[in-house]
Amino acid sequence: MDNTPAVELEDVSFTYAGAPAVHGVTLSIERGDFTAIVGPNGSGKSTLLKIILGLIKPDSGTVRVFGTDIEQFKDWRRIGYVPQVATGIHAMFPITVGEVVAHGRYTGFSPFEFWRRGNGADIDGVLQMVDMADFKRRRIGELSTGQQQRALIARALIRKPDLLVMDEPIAGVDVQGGEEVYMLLRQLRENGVTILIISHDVGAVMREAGTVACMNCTLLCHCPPQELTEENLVHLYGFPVEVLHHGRHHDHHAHGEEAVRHDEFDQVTPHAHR
Amino acid sequence: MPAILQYDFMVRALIGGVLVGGLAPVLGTFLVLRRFSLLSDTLAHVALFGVAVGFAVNVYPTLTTFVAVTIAAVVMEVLRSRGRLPGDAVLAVALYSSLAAAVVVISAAQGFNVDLLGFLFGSILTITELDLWLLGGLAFFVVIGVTAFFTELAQTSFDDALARVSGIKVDWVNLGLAVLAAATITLAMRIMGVLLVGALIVIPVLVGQGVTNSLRTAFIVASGVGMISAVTGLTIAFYQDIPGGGAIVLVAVALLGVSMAWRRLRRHSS
Repeated sequence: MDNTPAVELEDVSFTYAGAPAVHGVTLSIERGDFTAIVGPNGSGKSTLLKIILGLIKPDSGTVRVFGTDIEQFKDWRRIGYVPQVATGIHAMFPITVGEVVAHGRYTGFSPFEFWRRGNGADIDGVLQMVDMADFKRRRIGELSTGQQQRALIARALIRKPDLLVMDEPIAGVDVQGGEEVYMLLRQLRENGVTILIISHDVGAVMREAGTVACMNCTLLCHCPPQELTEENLVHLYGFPVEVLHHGRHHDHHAHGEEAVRHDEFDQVTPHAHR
Repeated sequence: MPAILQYDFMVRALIGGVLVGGLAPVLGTFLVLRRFSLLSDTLAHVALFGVAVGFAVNVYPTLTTFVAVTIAAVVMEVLRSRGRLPGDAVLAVALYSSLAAAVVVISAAQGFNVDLLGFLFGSILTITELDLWLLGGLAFFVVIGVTAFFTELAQTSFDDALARVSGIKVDWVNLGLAVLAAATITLAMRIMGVLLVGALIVIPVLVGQGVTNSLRTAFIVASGVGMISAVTGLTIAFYQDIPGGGAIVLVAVALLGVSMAWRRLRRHSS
């Protein structure tokens, strides 16, 4: 079995408009891992994601995906990508949810694709997985942000990816919808899919992710969430925070006290005397 | 036989109109969806420069126009995709510089006697058999190319980052679209005129966008609206003795108005 990491970054740097956006990042994401990148706005998270996907060429350093330099990488079928927003999602773009999902099947030039309708059991299947089966023939631009996000997730899933990359997958999604997305991610992880997400929802990340990468231009730490300390987060966000670890995956001590059990969530809250 | 079909020039105009009306919205669909509608208008102004050069150096103007428009389309696409200038700034610079160059060339070559209004507003009298053969060849090429690469064109229009991560060579797709748009504008200009050719690339697409949720269907509707506008407009132009380009565009605008009213009624009733 090939044990090459799914994603490897070595001393990657990128400067945007004269200011370093990503500096000296070295990171390795093992196959089957669920890694969340967290950090404040403007910390270079999305830039790092675009570098990993080959959408931005770094000024220096190397990026390998499944052991292949990203510039030589051709096996795109193995990657599913869910952007935070797609530029084509607006009310005047005539494209149905089914057509968007069908685009995810793309594996290379197919001259008769125009004549194939956006149907198929695989499309119905992934739409059911994200609870969007009833919206197949609806124009995607007329749906809610959460529904659009689920359609984009279905587009990524139809590729049966080995690596799923998501930029803020639950932005604009309500609490129940967000929980459903994380439930789906848990299932995918159980099936061996490597997951890499950007998230501002630190609580959910602490609960769900296998490892957390803290970015603020540089990579401050990359560790399992239970090893994430207040010091890490203070350094990351720039103000005092309080970490309460609880949840389904791990118990942990915070402030030297016994962990407080909570039904669902870990919490990271601004400290009272910030 | 109706009077309109008894004149060879009108038969040529109608055939040309059907080809241009069907062809222009096909490429227009992808330009409008990328919010790059004004590319057609800019390229049409570059076409005027190409025409001027053709007459000044006594070369078949369609050829010089095609060369000028293709070079402009490729340069603009490269500038836009590399982010050297914002997309709308690229269009503005190209439009004004080509118009200025055309004025200078026309002024410098005072000797050539050309009906400039015919190029600005279109003239159904100027369509030759060679133009029709060129249009027919281009239509064949565009239909084959666009249907074969429909997924690539659709995905790059929807979101180019998503398209790249799907493995699509986005830069090549965009370049191909720019070259096909250049060829279409060069040939459509003979019927529509420099100032109105962009309308046939954009307005039928808006009709298609409004009446259907599906991209494939919108694409077919836009092409159909373009053909109907061309035939109806040319027929009105013949019987009313008005410029063909103007009549075609006004018919297309009327169809857009009808489609918007229909859409509003449909929403209201549902």
